[in-house]
Amino acid sequence: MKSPVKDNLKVGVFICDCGTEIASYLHTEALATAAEQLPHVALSRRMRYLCSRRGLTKMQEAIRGAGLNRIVVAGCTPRTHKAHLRSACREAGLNGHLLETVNIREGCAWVHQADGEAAMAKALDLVRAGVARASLLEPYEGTKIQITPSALVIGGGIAGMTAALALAERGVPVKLIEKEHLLGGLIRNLHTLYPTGRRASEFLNGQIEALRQQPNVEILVDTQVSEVMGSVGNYHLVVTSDGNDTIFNVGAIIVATGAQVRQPYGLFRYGTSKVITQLELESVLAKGDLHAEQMVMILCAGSRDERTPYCSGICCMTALKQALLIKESHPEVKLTLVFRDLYPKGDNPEEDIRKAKQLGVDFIQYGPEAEPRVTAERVEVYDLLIKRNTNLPYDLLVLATPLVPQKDATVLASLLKIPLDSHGFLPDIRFRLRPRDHVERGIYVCGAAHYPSDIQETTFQASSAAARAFNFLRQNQVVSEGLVAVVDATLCTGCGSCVEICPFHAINLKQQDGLLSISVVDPLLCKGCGLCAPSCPVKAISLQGSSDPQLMAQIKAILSSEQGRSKPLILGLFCEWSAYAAAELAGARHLQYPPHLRIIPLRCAGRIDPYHILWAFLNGADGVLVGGCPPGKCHYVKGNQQAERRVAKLIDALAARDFEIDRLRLEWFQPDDASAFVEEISIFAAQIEDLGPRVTQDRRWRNVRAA
Amino acid sequence: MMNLTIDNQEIEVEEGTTILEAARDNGIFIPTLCYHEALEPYAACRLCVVELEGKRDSRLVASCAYPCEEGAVVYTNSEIVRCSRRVTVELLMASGEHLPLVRALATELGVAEPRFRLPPDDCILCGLCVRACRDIVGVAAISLMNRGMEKKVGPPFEIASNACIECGTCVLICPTGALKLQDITKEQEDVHRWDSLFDHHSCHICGDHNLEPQFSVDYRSLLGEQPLDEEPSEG
Repeated sequence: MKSPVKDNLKVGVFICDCGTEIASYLHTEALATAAEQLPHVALSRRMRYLCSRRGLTKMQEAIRGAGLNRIVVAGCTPRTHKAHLRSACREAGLNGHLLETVNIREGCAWVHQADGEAAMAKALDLVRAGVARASLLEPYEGTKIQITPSALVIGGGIAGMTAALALAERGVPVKLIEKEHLLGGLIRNLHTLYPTGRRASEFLNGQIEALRQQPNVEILVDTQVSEVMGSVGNYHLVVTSDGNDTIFNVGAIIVATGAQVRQPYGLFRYGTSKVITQLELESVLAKGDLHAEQMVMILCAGSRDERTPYCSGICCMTALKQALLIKESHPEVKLTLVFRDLYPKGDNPEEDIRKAKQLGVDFIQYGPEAEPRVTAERVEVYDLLIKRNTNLPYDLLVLATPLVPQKDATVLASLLKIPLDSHGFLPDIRFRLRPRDHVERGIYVCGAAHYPSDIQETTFQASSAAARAFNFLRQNQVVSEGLVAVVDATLCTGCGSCVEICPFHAINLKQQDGLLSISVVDPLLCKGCGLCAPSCPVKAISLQGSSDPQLMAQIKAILSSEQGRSKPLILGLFCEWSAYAAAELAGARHLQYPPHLRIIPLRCAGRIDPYHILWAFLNGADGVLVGGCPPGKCHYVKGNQQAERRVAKLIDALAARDFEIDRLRLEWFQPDDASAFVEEISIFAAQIEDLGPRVTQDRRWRNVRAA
Repeated sequence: MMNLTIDNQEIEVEEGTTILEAARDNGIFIPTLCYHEALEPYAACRLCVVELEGKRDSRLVASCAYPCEEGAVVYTNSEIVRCSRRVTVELLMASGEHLPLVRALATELGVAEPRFRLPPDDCILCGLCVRACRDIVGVAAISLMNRGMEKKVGPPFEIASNACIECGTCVLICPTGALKLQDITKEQEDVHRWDSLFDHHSCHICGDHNLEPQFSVDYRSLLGEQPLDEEPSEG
């Protein structure tokens, strides 16, 4: 880790009165005087309103006048004001990342209104920690990249074609690759389209013709992606066609690989000659050789069960369409539609159901608890309406089977480093993170690759994906301002722990001259969660703005209170998305809670290293509370799981050495539930008070090493 | 720099300063609802109105948005100002009488009973959450929709928003506590699978940790020793 520039460090501390909001509960003048005594502090000033025009001007004058190079602002919540303060710093010629904010309003003044002395002690601790951290801050400019102004569309079905056409019409050069020999995807196998009744081939040929006439589109069939290199804005894709590899450089990728119809071998005697799927019926109808007298259709065949819990979305319409077609051309066929629920979409599906009934189609509803039983001659179904078993003889049984992910969806997902949902589809890549902190990937998913969807919805999704891709491409240049992980190449042993743990696949091992491979972070993929830092056995990887030295200094400073020793000290290591948000909300609501808690906000609970917790206990904490997002809610996919795992391991290790493990606790917090937060803090504070001050003579646990 | 008088107090301010900022910087209190230091003035709640004395008559202006003028004479708590605020508070009380914030304002201005009644609502339509989401967070996941009596805050089409990043800034900034994140976000129970294809092998040196990647060098073979059996173990 680079040692920060210690010499010539000039920290400026600004304490805001917030009119009377802070000043009525805290002695801000005393706070400013006390801050002046802290190491490296060159200037400490109290302001009436720091965020006002006049306040900011005064701060900027002080920065220029006193040559300040680190700023600590103690005032209200950084969530609303940090951006303003940052830009004020920038205007004064100081890098925005050299600013540290300390929340003494929501985090102190407003929540300890009754106990002025304790509030004052806490505010002092917070300011001390802020100064300690600010002294170790380093400037950061962000990462800037140019975007290659072209796009690649993977998949030549209706989604891919629509997206390619939409992009090409906006003037973007597009390459459309299709793994099969012909364009069209699933639609190629269809006979007519619902609800228009239009010939599928007619519709498809129109689309293909429009695409071929568009000079910006290059169509490559029998082609597949075999390797993806590069990063955001500049992807280098290796595509294979007839054994030949070509490299394409593109700025955006649209994934439109579609889905496939499940062939449910073994289900309802599928595989025997009299049982086919809806898709197979399409080609039977297209050829016009339907020879059946008694037909049965079973809907939701193999979907909405335990294995495939979702609704496939298109089967109801398909079944209705086929039923109408058959009844219109072959009125003599006895057709029974066995369904679980009918959810047809479209303009007026009820009309089609009514029409089908008029034409003599029987509708029989079955329940999930009694699936139809199929023998060689008949379908036996428990009719929910008459509450009785009905036997339906058949000579053609059609199964409406669900759309399932493509076989190679997993391969593509890992090539592109995009997530899969629990069914194996490719969900929309949306991060619940601040838009200025990360850049868009430039990868968009549309159509049935994303979720089972009909043609209308697919077209809509494809246009939307194309619009988003176009907006991304036309920026020409993107800047990622967020703080990211950095690797110290001299320490990294290439063990791959960080590669494994990174939820965004932002870290890769890069081979170094034959001997070692070391981790390399892609700053455009890194979201700055810091999960990697605690995982590194040699501490070679650290998170900018939240490095171990910074956190250790902060923890030490926040706990080195002199006045508050009569009361227990609790350190809160809080995820800023949940626990810290809840704490601030408690402040905004003026809810009162015990003043023992000192909070250090972190990007994610997954950033917390067991060493930080041990360090806190070593430095006099009587209790440590780790706060994170509830399971499944982590903004960084699995940071809370990591925190839970690490804290549990540490508790085991501490328990084995007779440490009072009740002093360490992990809690999940909802960001909008302030009262639950207050309740939790009060309980934990009472518990720590009961335990009393920690016996510091017993240093046996000092040797505890986190596993 | 320019000079003006607020409540008989001579004040010097920078050009472009609003009356509200000038007053606050000099310790003069003006009540506000839709004003937030981190946001552009919105001038919606009309609670911050002040009396601006003119040559012939005086008029009411929203101090949060009105810039100071050279030689202006401003009264922040005159009878006409209080009268205007009383009506504003009465209107707020119509649906928000139960809110502590509104009740405090009513007590302060001496409004006992509002003349108007609407169904109780926690939201006072100050628009702070909408503006914070758009201008501070930069995602615009919620907006004010409908007009008049139907006006309310919510995600587009009142369906859970995908744009929301669950930062809770709207909840934090809401002066009445009307917002819950659940109203805005989709329950994202279904966590994405980010299958890693990274292959862990046990360490060739100590044989203990699952550290060594498969393509790193085998130190034992470098040292001319018998290499350990390569047994991939769980990560």
